[in-house]
Amino acid sequence: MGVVETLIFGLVTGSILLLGTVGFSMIRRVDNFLNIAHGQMVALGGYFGYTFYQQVGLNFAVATIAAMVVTGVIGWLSYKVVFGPIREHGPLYLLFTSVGLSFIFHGLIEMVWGTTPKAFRLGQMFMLEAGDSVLASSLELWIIGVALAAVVVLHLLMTRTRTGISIRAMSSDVNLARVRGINIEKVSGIVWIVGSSLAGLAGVLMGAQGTVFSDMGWSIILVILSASVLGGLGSIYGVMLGAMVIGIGMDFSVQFINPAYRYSVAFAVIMIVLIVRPQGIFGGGTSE
Amino acid sequence: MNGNTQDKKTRTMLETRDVALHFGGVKAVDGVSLEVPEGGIIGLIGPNGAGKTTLFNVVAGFLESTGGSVIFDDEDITDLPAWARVRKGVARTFQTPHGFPELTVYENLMVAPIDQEGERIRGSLLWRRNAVERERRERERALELLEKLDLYEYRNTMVCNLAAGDARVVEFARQVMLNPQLLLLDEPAAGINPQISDSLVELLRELRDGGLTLLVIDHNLGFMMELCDFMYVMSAGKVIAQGKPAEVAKDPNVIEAYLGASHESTRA
Amino acid sequence: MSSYLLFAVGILILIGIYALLTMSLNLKFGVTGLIDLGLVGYFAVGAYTYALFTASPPGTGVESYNIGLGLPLWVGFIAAALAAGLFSFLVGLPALRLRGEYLAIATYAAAEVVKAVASNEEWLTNGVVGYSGLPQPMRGAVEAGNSYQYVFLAIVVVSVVVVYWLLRRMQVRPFGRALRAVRESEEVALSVGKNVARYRMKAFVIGGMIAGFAGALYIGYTTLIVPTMFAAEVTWTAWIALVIGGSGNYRGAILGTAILLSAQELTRFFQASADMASLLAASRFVAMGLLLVVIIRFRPRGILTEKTESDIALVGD
Repeated sequence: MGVVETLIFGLVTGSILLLGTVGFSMIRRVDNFLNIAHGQMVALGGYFGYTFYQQVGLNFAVATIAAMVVTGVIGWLSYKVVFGPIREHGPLYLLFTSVGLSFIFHGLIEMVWGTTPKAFRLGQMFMLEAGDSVLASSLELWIIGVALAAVVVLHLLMTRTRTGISIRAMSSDVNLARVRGINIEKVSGIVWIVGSSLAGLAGVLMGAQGTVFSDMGWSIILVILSASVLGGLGSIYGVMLGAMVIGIGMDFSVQFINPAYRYSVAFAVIMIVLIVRPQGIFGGGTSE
Repeated sequence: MNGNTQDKKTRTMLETRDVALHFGGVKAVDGVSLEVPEGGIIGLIGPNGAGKTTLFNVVAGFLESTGGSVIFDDEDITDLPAWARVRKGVARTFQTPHGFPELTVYENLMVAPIDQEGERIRGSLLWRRNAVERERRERERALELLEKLDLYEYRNTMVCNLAAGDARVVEFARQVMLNPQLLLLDEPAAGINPQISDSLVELLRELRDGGLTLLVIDHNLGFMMELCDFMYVMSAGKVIAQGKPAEVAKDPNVIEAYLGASHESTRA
Repeated sequence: MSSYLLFAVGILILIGIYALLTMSLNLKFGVTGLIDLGLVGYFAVGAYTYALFTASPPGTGVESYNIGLGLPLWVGFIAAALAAGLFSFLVGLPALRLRGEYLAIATYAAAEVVKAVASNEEWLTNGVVGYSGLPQPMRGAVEAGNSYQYVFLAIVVVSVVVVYWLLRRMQVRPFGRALRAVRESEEVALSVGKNVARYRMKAFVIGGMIAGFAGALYIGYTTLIVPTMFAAEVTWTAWIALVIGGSGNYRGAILGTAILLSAQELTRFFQASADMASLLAASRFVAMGLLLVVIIRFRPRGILTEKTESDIALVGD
């Protein structure tokens, strides 16, 4: 497989990963814990997307948006009901709680949709070709485009809107932010909604490429963790870059090593980064 | 080198040579050279932010210096990790009382003794007579110490449940259990009321007579004047004066340093 | 009637094996403060080592696997513990430099790598097919198939008792005190001359060895080994058991394991059909998650035991 094709593959993987990781990172910055259940948000997005598209028969774009809305709400609820009340117990308890929530979601997914993978079957797509080889499908180009759009929108959100500035204030110092009149609850809520719906979007796009499967929440969270650690848990732009690097890296790595070790590559990255430069490429956010 | 020893034959317990700690453009410690003779009670004073505690951290190995060296009993310990320095004989207390929160006062003291056979895996499983004996001896020491410090009744209380003043004394007792040769005390008199401060001076003198060398930081100048044989004064990372307490008190540089901060703020 | 009894014995055996895991976790987390999310990794390393050491050499039958040393079982058990210990050491070298969530992620990653290797390195582990027909410890002691369960149960009980005794012994001695001091404050531990890194590694390796031994026991029980046996749930089961029982003491670890596993296994009673099986399995996930979330919310210190009792050396007179 040529370099360009692999690169595009990598960009696609990276784009999806970016959408999933950004929300994770925002939550980490604002609420200061690693929300493992974020991976299940991706899975839920994928499954709801499947249901809306395949079973209800909605147009793909509409189904995607619907799935995003649903996951946004679920994410918001998980904050309000589960994580918010135990905020003061500290990042470790929140981490464990998020694992418990992951089990709940995973179990519910299997109970409702079963364990066999569900195919999206998007139908014929326009293919981008260069000479003999197929470089990318329209879906893949869309995915990259969507991710780019998300990056731009987020950038504008963070720098131009009051909410965005509040988010940044909260991430550097919650108490100071509170003192300066920022409504912590409201800003957190927005972060959870935005972050979770982006995760849902990632899930739909993941599924659209082929299938959704019940373990996908667990598989993806590990790569999300890896991208976050690489980019620096405290930096949103850092994790975006980290996601791209990991995505491209994983897809290039299968040229040299057994594809089953794709995820192990991500873990190796985690280990190496944590040892060599725990604050990641862009620094900030070490909890110790 | 600094002439603070009467008797040239007294060995130098601690020497810092041009120790520096620079980070991010801040010179927290800027070339500090001092000497602590065996058996001395040496004071380290200076306004807030002078770098005294930072110097302690460097001497004890909790911070890595960016320059200079630390010599303990003629041995260069600059590259030794903090725990290894303790085993050589250098112990320190912290500015705010640090203990093992969910261990009892008794346990806090009993953790300290160096090289307990029972602390090794095999030693703990075999639990031979030597180990049992050692534990018994240290237990006696610990309880005696607690009685002397009026803390015996708290022996089974968890340190996190103690008042800050008591916690500070427990920390002190714990470090004494190490049988150190040099003890770095960071603000031992903080938050202690005047009546106790006299008996604290007594106690520290007793320890010195028993062979301990002390380097003490404190802001309570009355306490320090009474306690110390010799003092170093730091300001903005440098040593600006040194000498016997009486001399140092009259040194215009010292007065300037202490008043300098408030002088600056009234000017602005 | 006897099938209920056998079922009960089966649950007890599982409880025993998991109790070893939970106790190893207590040593690492309850006593020493290390957050290890990779338990199943050491468990798997021990299990596979046992399998490789005790399987009969290939070529004598229809096996598809490569490695089988055919060694006596007691060698297999020792090798399992040692291999898991070595693996823990190698993981610990980089990982133990980290703290808190970072250590958690690193250990989790390590376990995932173990699972990936187990699934993919067919030359070593025979991949997803795995091994079967592995020998059972002390099988020759009884004739009838059913009575063997009791023999195995006895082996498990003895193991649990011995491990419990060893861990308690270390706990009440200065070694345990030093570990707890490291948990309480690394900085203060350094200030009293403790080599904090070494203590953390010791707890990590000992815990790993116990988990490896448990892995070997598990395979001795199931007589087969496949990578899917080593899913993250094993780790989470031990964690939940520890949280239920109250982290910090070994009795709580055993009790928590007993409660959690009894609850889990009893649901198998209600399995009516094959379809139900997967639904039941999924609902078990939900139940486990719910349990974890609820306990943390309402009793973060654990249900059964508060950390007041005999773990603190009370000095009399």
